[in-house]
Amino acid sequence: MTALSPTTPDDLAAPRGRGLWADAARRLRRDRSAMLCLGVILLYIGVAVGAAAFLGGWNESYDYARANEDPSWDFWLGTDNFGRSTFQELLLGAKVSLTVALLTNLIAVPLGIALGALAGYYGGVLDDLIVWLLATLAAVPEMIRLIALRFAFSTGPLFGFIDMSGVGGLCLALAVTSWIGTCRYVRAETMKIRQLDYVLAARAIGTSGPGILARHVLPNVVHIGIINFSLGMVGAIMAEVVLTYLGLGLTGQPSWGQMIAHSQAKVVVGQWRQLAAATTAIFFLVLALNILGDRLRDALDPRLKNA
Amino acid sequence: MSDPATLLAVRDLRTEFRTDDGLVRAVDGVSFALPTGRTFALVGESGCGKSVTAHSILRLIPNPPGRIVAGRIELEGQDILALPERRMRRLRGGRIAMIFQEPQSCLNPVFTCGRQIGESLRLHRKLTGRAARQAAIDLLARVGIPDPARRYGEYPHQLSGGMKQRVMIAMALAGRPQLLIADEPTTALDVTIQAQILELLRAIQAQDNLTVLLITHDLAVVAETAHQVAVMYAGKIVELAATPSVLSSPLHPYTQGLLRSVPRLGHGADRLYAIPGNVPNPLSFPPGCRFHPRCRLGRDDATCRTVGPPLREVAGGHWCACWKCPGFEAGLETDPAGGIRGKETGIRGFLD
Ligand SMILES: Nc1ncnc2c1ncn2[C@@H]1O[C@H](COP(=O)(O)OP(=O)(O)O)[C@@H](O)[C@H]1O
Ligand code: SF4
Ligand SMILES: [Mg+2]
Repeated sequence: MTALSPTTPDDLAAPRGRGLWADAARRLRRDRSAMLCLGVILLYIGVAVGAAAFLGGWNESYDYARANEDPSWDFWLGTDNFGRSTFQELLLGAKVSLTVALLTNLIAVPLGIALGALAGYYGGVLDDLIVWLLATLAAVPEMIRLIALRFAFSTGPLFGFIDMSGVGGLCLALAVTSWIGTCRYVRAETMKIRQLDYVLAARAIGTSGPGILARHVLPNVVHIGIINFSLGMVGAIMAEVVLTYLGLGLTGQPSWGQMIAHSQAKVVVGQWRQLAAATTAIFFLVLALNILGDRLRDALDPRLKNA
Repeated sequence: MSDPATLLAVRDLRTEFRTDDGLVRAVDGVSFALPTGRTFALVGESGCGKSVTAHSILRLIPNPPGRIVAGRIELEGQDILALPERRMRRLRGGRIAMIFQEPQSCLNPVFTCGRQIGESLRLHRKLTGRAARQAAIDLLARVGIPDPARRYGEYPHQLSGGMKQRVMIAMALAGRPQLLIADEPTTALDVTIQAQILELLRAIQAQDNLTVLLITHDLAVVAETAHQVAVMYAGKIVELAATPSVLSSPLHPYTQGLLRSVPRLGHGADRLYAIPGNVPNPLSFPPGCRFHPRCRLGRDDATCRTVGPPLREVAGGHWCACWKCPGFEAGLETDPAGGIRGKETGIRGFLD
């Protein structure tokens, strides 16, 4: 679209990029649903940070005199059987979900990109090894894999000193599962890219393998990472809830998973508010992440189609 | 005038591809020598192994499926097939540079022209920042790009095909090469642009005393630019000589056919000759002389059908591989790469 337009002095001062990223950013900014979802996600993050900063001590705020109250001005969503505010619990629970979602993907996505790009570019034994790892992990159903890892981590510190029972351990277990999708996709894409003429031309001027990976492959696959990051957060949030429900999640701090797990017994006796609050909170976060991931794919994938 | 020294000698090069359908002997015993400062043309129909020869010289054959299974490639006497990859990388874009057929797809669309030239400057001349920028602009000017300072910051899609090929040439020159391999550099371009690019290559060659390996399927291009020509057919060189000899008195039936199929002024397109038959399937080359199914002389000849003719020097500096070419009986089996043929070349693995 800019190919034939005359160059203005402005362009000369600051040569503008081919603008693939700029184009994508522009498309996203104009995309109302994407922006709305981003707003929702940022709101959740804000709540998580704010709650962690101002609502400490909830865990021990027992007040048996006010146990199992209905919603009121004091307690918007009522209280639990210890007399603690369910609304506070809900706000505090955002922290666990978001920490797990972000940390998991901060491990999984770069890992998936790195292994996928290496396997796809170098091929040979390295590729065989990575594909073998991938296939082996993928052969075990995700939940079984997670449960096995959590059990393994719960038996004691890794190598005798790395405590895996906390958030780090949980995220690592989740990441071990979720790098696979990114890796597969990046590997396939890299195998296409390395056949491109400009990669051959780059090799012909003496660019090394790592140089080609950094300059020609990575810029063409990061968008896969971005999309998978958004979608991967959904997986991590859901998995954390399920694991907590099964008693393999995080304990000792309020989380949506625990709210749901604990309400198992309460729903029968008519206490449904914790369950409803937690599931609603999860629902909107997951919805926002899913839609954003989808919109990101729409905004970033034309890069592939035009390449 | 004494003959210039040999810059690069390719001896008995054999490059194969293991494909799902079988073994492709894309280059099957090719030998030639590139004299310093001259243009040497490699011609032949599409698929005869020209690009594979060029990529073998730079060791750019993808492995798998490809492999250089035998031969030597000597750059000023040193066998570069034996070099470790790290030293080979310094040669690529350094002493040996290459330009490709499709300038369209050989530049990364997301980087500016300047940056792509800068990459070579950084690798081979350790130039960065301002110095690299100035050197890149100088190179753009040198390859005839108007307003080079502006073009420096432009992206490939902002340039025409001819301009892109000039940028590729600038990239190739950035490492100050001794040898430039140009693989069909004008095939993808308009006729008028083709002439300009060829003229540019000629000028640069003269200024830098550059040795050029020009790959083309276009004999008209050969006539204008090359000092020597090797004609390839089905992975082998069938004729090699100084350009005037090949053009005025071609000895091999395939070369004769190629020359007859070149359009000339005053001849209608309908009168154009075409060599009968098709390029053979590289998975199963015909036995004997690989050209025999298409050759009017050898089609029914028992020898041609069963025994492949070796490349012989049938006149001073004129090699031909055809049982029926004049002087073949008395010809010598000398090596166009220089030296005596049949010396142990050794089979080596390909390291890339
Ligand atoms: N990567 C590859 N895999 C399999 N076969 C190949 C590959 N590259 C080239 N070839 C084969 O090598 C032969 C010569 O190709 P090439 O050198 O590109 O021909 P050209 O003379 O047109 O440049 C062709 O038959 C082609 O099929
Ligand atoms: S050797 Fe025989 S078949 Fe081959 S080119 Fe000569 S005459 Fe034709
Ligand atoms: Mg070719």
